[in-house]
Amino acid sequence: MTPREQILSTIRRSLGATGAEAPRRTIVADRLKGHGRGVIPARAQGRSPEGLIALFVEMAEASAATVATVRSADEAPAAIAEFLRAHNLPAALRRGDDARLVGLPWERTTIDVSTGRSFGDDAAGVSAAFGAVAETGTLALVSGPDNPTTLNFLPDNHIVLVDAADIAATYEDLWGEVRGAYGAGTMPRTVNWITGPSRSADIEQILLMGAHGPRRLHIVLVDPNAVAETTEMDATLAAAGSTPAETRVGSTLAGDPKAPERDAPTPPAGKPDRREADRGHEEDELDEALDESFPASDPPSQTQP
Amino acid sequence: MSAQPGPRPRVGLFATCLVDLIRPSVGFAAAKLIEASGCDVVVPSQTCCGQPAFNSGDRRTAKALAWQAIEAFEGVDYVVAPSGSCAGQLKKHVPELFEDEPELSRPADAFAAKVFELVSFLVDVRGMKAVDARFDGAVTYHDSCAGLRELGIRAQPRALLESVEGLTLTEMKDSDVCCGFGGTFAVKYGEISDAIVAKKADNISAAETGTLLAGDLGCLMNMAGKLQRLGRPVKARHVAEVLAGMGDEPAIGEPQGR
Amino acid sequence: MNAHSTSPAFKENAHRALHDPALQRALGNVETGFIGRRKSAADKLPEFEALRDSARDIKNHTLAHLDLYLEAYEAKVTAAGGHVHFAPTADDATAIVADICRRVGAKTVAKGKSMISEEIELNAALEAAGVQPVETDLGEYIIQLRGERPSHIVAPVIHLNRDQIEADFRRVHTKLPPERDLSAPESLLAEARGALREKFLAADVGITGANFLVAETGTSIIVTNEGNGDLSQTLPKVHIVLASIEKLVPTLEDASQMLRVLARSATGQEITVYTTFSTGPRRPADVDGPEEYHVVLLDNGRSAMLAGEFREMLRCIRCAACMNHCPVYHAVGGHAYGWVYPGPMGAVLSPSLIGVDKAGHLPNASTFCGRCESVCPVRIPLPKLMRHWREREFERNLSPAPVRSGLAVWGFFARRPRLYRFATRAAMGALSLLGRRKGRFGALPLAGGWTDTRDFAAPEGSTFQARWSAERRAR
Ligand code: SF4
Repeated sequence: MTPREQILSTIRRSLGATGAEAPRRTIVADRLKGHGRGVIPARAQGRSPEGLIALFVEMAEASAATVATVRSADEAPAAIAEFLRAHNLPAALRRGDDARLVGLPWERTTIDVSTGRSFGDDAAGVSAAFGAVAETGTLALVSGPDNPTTLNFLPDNHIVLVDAADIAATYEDLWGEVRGAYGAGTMPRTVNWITGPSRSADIEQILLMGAHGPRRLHIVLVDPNAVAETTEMDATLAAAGSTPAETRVGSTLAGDPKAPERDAPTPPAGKPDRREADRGHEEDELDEALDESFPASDPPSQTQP
Repeated sequence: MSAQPGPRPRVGLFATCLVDLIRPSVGFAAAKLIEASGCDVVVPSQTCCGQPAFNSGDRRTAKALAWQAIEAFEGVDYVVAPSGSCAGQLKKHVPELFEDEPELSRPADAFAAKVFELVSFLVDVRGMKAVDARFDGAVTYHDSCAGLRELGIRAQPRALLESVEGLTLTEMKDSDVCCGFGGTFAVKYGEISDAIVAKKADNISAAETGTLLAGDLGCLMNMAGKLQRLGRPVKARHVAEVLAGMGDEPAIGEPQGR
Repeated sequence: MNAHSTSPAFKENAHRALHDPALQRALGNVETGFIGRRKSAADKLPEFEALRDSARDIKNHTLAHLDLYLEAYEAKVTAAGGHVHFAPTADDATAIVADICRRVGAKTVAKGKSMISEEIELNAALEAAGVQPVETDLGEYIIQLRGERPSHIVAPVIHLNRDQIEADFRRVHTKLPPERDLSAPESLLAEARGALREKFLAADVGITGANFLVAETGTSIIVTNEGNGDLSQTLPKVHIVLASIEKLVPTLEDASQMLRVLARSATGQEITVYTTFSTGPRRPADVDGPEEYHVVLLDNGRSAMLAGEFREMLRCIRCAACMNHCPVYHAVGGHAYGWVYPGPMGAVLSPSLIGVDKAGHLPNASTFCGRCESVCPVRIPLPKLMRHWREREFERNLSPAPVRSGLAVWGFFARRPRLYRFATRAAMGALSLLGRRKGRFGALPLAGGWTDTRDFAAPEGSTFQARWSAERRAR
């Protein structure tokens, strides 16, 4: 008996089955094809597109990622340049061949752009996300020549371009998109869900950022409905300096000094009411709860109890 | 105190072996409270719920003792025990013991359905909202594990304690964490048990009350024994004693003085 | 396999642990961190309890059809260009891994965190085969430097303080200048990160565990916060996934349900930083990723566990919530349990895997407080399963003699109510007289385990039953 047969036959003996029973086979086949959804958090359901974006940004920031919103992808290189400058990083990055990255006006910046996989010598890597999940502020990246997986993990700073239209409400919605792109039952070699920068709490349960992967995760959100805020963003980033442990610097949404009364993503011009209504006090509570449970962005003093 | 209309239910008091042997006054306090809730109390001949055997892997003895209890309490409307642990055994685990025996599982299930822990019986079944008792001083309350997690007892004792005149309840840190008793565990793994109860004793002391209350005599003896060995001035009592207005008798492990 | 375990010496291990001040200081971090974080994560998700039911049901369903899901999974892995190896025993698994390493001429192996690797003692086997394994999870790396076992399945070095870790780094990283300040945890992390970067880039083979395997697509899933698992599986030319057979779930949707409870239960995060879904080796156009993708499916007694009362244990997703909430674990830490899996889940699983004769203490060393079951994301009735082990031990006469005879005497009286009433009334009367002056005993025969450290309350006097019948008759 081969090891395979040995294991399968012990399982069958334990289950009192032969493996040939038609009803059992049908149950399994149906389950595999059915993609049945279980319990889905209400948090992410029934939201307007703006509401989904707001939730995504909120959750991503709670995971210690920073988010910059631009109205068109063409503004992304400038936003990325600002991020690099704000952290005193060299004006250099490596990206894959994703069409969304290739076509950007990099020449409008002084950034030295190289392409291909990383071998660990890059300070910043840029990827384009396949999608994202609002529920937990999670990015979804797929491997391939367009977006080499090494760019997600080796550079100290990972910058991810995500299109607001690609933000799914839940993980299940995301899988729907993946199946749409790759076919049911087929997967790209790697799907990386990324929620915040790398961290470890192994030493005395103290949370430290940048364990093996990137110390910073910066999301450039392309949202055509957002109000352009380039000048304010510049000011924020410049003021933020480059303290490595300050994971929230660079966020144009949470830390804009010129608009202290605003804690929400900028309402799109022409429909501010809807955006405000989406962010009810349900989200204020969420804010508080998130602050409590994500010590990720704690200042360094917290690491010396 | 409240009483529901209709005929007075007959309650069989399952004193539990620890109360029977070590601290009968808890049995009398329980009886007083059950009567005050509008029930008649009987005390059928009884020994032990069988939990020590059950938890030691001796299913045969556990079954024999369970069946003994089922028969002894045949004629009563309710079986009430001043212990979350014993009530949990009778309510949750006795049916498990007989689940493979159709003839016995029906009476076992019927028996289990009428079993209640004392305080949850008073509040949840009899609708009691207040007691007629006085106790001067601050108390802290420990949630014994079986009562808390098997039977969901948490709010009920606090609600009744609130109504005791002169009493203030100060919550200790981690009131829901085990005291380290665990039945035979306390003797078999005495060193670990002691480490756990030492933490508990510190939490009790930190609450700065003169009195510790709980609903299980086993846990109380463990905590009282540790507090006394450490020379801490906290007195330990079963919650039923205070609720029944019998909080002036010598506390657990104190000289009788009679 | 000849599992190296000190579980039979649990009591001695526990004794040492209780008298180890550094360990006791470190264990404080379990209680302060994990419990509150899990609770706030659970409180923030109104669907959390429903998700626990869902997670339990998914696992139950998968286990009941495990043979078929394994076949489906295997077919998908193969279709994606990967290889599935079946390993009935731990030795089979280490041999398969060592063979792959030898075939590709591997000198070093980068390893992501894997409890299965600990279970099969893979590192020792690799070293014997001339291959140098490098643990890359920060905690596991420290463990490897110390030649220890992890003391916790999620936080391997929860038993250590930073000064101990600093000492290890100074011992092993000989190039480290003595004047370099490593007192802050950040500098320890930076040191490890630097040392491990080189190892990742040099490794020939990467080995990871799997948190879940998806039958629908032939995908293996790992979750890490550090990113070490991803570097381990992306950079070397061969990726080996080590997984036990019960890791299967049917679909990506099912995996998503499980992931919703896993991180919240383990670390109190909404989701772990990196959740990685891997399916087969690098594709033709890919510029990175492994050229070979292998899955080693370990049985090691699990297929037999499916038959009996311990099947429920196979739902376990290794979140560690049970040990994080266990008062016994808080008191003695993970090493006292003497084998790979500590805490309540270990107390149930270890006897299945290394035998109840060796691990017999573990299911007994529990107060049955039930806190583990109350937080287990897949609702494993851990106390009940520990009790089942006690029953087996009792049946096989493995329980300690004093306990057996004590219980036998107690059972003898308890089953004879009249004799019981008579005997106990007399005994309690006598005991009460003895303890009257103080109200308690400082020492009692046969109960030294108690009275060494605690007083024992003296009985009030007569028994309740005796007093009740006397008083009620008098009324
Ligand atoms: S038994 Fe439950 S709580 Fe413990 S590790 Fe397994 S899944 Fe988590």
